[in-house]
Amino acid sequence: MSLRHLVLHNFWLKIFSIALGTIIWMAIHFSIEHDLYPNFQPRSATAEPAGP
Amino acid sequence: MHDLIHYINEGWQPVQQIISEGWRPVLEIAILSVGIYFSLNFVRGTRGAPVVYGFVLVLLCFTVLAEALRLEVLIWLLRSFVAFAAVAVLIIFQPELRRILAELGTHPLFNANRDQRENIEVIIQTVERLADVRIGALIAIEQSIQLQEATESGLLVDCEATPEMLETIFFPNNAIHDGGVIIKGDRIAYAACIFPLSQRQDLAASLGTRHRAAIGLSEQTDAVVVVVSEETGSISHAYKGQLVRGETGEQLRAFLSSILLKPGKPHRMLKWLQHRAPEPVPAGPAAAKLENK
Repeated sequence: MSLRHLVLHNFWLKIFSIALGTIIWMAIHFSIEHDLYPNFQPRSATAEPAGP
Repeated sequence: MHDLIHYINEGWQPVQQIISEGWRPVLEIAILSVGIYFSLNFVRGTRGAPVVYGFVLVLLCFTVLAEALRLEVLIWLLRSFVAFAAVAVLIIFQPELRRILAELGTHPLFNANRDQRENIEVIIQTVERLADVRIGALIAIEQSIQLQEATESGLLVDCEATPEMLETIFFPNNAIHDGGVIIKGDRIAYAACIFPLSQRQDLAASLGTRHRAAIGLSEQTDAVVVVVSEETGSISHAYKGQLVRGETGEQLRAFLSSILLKPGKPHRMLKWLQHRAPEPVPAGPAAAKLENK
């Protein structure tokens, strides 16, 4: 089996799998982070407004 | 200038962290993607595919809706439901999973391929003759997966596979002409076997029980099933759940050869022994005459 065949065979299915894999990984990753640090908020959201 | 270097150093640190520790997410995503790819490839073309697509679509819509509207109870229900999805997958894909596991357990690495060259000719001759006179036939050629369930319903024959014997079995009004024949190696092992019918909904309505049985058996095992239609006299074969209809003898021969006569690499030891074997010396007076000439 050539490298070309390995890449191009079911190309769109492979791309879709990678995209879906990335989305699932991100969803689970952030869900775990949220479970571990429920009070964690991004710095920009917690930063106090600057004074006048 | 000093500030710029400091700024670059500070900005570089998270990038360095990602490079040094980022291989784990990449590996995880790669494993996930490979798993998803093979799962989708496996689901595609099976009878459970529409069910899975519908199931995933409904689940996805509900999840998006629940997350968007922050419906906590629905989110909890969906998370609990995912655990049951694994059981649903096992039930929906039970025949396919069984075939895959059986194939894994009977890897060619541990099994020598039987040479079925003679069988192919016997089967071709039989089906061509039966197709000419429009006698229905259902012949399964066992490969690495044992057809245990099908044999339980059949009758033990255990005789040499010959066109005459096969024709006799399928001759109408014969006591064992109904059902399928199982060929093991070079022998007709069982006759009058009941093969599992395919449950696929996408099959043509014109397909009879014989063809559905051929597809059903090929879905669950790695057997090659050859069918002769009683109504049309056409020759078909089923392999891994796919039915090919209206074949000629030559086409069937080519297909059976490609499946049953797998060109395996000769064993190294065997090759070495063949190389070491002395040149064959012709024996007898005829050979001596030839040599003198």
